[in-house]
Amino acid sequence: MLKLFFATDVHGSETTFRKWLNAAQHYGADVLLMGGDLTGKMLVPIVEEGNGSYAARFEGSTVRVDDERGLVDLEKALRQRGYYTQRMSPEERARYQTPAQVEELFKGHMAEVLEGWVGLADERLDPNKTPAIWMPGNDDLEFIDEYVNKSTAIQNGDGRVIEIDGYSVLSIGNANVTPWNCPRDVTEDVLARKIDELAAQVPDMSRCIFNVHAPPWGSNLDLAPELDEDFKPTMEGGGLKMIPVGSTAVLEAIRRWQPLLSLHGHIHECSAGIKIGRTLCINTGSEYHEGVLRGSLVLLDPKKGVKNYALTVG
Amino acid sequence: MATQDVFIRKSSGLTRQISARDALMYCAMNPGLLYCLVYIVWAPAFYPGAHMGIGVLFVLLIFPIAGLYWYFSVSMPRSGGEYIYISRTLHPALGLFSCFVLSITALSWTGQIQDWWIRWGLADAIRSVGISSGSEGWIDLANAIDRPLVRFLLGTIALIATGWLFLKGARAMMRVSYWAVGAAWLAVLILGLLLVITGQDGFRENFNRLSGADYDAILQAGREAGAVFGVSFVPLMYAAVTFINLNTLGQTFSANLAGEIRGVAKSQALALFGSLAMQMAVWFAAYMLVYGIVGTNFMHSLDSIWVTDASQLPPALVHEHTSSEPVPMLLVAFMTGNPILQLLFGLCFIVATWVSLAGLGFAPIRNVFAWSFDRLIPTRFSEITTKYRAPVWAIVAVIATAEIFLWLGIYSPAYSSAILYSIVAWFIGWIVLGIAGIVYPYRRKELFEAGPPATQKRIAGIPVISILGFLTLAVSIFTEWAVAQPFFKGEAEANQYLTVLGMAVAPLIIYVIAHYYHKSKGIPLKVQFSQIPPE
Repeated sequence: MLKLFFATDVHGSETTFRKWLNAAQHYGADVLLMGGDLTGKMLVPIVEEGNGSYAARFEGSTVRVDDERGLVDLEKALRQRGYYTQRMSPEERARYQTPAQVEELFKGHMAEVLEGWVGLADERLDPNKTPAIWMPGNDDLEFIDEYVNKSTAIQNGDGRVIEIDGYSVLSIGNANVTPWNCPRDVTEDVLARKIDELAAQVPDMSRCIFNVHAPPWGSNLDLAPELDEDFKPTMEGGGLKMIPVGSTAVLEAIRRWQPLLSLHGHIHECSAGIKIGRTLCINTGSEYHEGVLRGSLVLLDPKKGVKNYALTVG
Repeated sequence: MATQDVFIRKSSGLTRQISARDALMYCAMNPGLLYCLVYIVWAPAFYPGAHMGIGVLFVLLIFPIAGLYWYFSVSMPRSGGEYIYISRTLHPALGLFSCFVLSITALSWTGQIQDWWIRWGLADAIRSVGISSGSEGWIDLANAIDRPLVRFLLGTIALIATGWLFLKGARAMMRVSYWAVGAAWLAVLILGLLLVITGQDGFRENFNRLSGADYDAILQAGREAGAVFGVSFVPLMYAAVTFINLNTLGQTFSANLAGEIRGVAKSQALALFGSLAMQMAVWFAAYMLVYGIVGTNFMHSLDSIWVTDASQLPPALVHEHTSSEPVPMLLVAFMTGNPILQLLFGLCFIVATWVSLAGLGFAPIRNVFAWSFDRLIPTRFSEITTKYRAPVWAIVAVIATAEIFLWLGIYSPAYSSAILYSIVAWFIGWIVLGIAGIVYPYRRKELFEAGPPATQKRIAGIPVISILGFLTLAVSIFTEWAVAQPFFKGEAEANQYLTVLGMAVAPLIIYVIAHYYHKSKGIPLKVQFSQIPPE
């Protein structure tokens, strides 16, 4: 019996990444898998105001700290929620005017955080005892591969098929094109080709695990708020109007190849497990912003396939 | 791109979100804004000496509870509702318990209160036309609608329509929600107009001419029936806490959508506190206008006569098939002879009430879905069908439950009164929420410290959320004490005890069954809720 734990979309959150590292011990899992979207989306400038005090404005509030200890606590709290932070003077803050300048700033923080995570993982995980796989997702810039590949404890699964305890883990971090045109968005044709090329390498689909960032289209694992032309969610029935935004290529691949298990992320709002043919498909969703690690614990029986599973809120 | 505050890079999921105004309307539409037109009969009848206009001030007690919801929804915006708040802070079983009683209370209203718009919005508006025009045909039609079978069928059709809207996901539903708030204000405007054009003198004259009774004689009969002319604090308090504050159910439902609300801190503040303010304004205006037109003492006299012996009401007000509450939708017969105005006033009650019931039924669907998702009930209830893109079985469960309560309300009046005391169970749920608020900064220190700065404020070193938790606890205990007076005095019937007990015990039984079932399947229930150490 193999017990695997899967989580995804940590988006730079220090808390949720550390929880993932600790999940093997906590849940008694044999294998750790991490879907894509490792890096954060937002960076909070902490601006010096003189006399050792700093101010940061985020989530509609301004926070002021007057000493180094307060500053460190603020930075820690923001990192836990997935924000990067940068101390700067008002002049430095004013210099960031173009998207290119901001991207450079982000890159520095992404690299620093990923290096820290790699160090932590290599220190805590024994790959012989607890195999672990992670990968970049569609939101992650291409340059992070360099850092993701550095770990000796966690393998970068993106674009590969990795054998673990007799199971083949096929991983792809790309997603179908989103309204935001993210760094690793690709067309459905490209995504279909990538999956098929890897699937052809799998010896036994009844022992194959898809770790594909984008969920299958129309599967109910891919329901996200419908956006109007102003990127505002539309409402109906007293709630949000949800529409499928997953990948048709992923859907067709699952139908065609029928792996044992198919793990997804990408759509944070949509956490569920469903069946497509014989394949159990799971999207764990994500609540990284609250420091909550949503995940899935799956029991695999060599003879019976998936024996049981649970969606966790750790 | 760079913003003035936070640097944001291009990545998926960054959307503009629900506006503060939408959130406000969502909160404002759920509580029945015009239930006050029924409570103006019931509350002073059961608590003589209560003045409903003044009683609206007791809604201020709900503000700390709204404040606690604000803190929780801003701290955990991506996943809202008391089920999540309590499960993460105290224990999943308590989360289920609290959420269950709140959901069942909401559903009992969704079912039972369908009967209100049929009796008092439809039948009484028609009856009022009959009274003022002297047409037996209109009165016969009202009596026909009042028949239990007709009410049950109309209520069932309304529930099916509600379920269809949930399934269909019609965009019209949100527009209708706005209409509900509009209908409430239109009703207030109509009352204001009638105060000006008819006034109390005109009402008295019309009443003496059309009702078959004398205005002054009613005052005398009311006093003999126990009506108190003047305001008495203790009955006022009981009446306000029982009937006015309970009318706020559903006002916190924006917590379930917090993750999609733009500028969640400010928007939720507007939604949670602004909707309460709006409700207070509507209720105060409606109560005072009815008192102004009808006369406070006269209204209270009718109430006392009704509760003592409804057959002693003026002949025109006595109903053949129902309990003859002298609601303003009926008394409008003596306020104006204009049938369009009379029917429009009834229509306002119908729209505001029916839409609020749809709103009250909507949140339990999400809760049933969440329980199923967490494996507490069969996973079928969290299946979203490809055809409707909606949790069909959760919707069916909700509508079926509401239908049972509709049936109980119409055919089993004893259970109908028991449902009133289901409110006792609801506030038990808020007691648990209050405790969760008190201990949240200590039991979930990492979540509290990682929360937005606005949620970490302290007063005298004590986290504000803990203070609000304490106030929620105190208000809820006080409310329990007030609402449960018949229990303490031994006046409650056995089925009232059983209803409350059943609502309190059922979720715990469900949890225990789920616990042992999943333990036998290899992944115990507790695993999915256990917190992974973050260090």
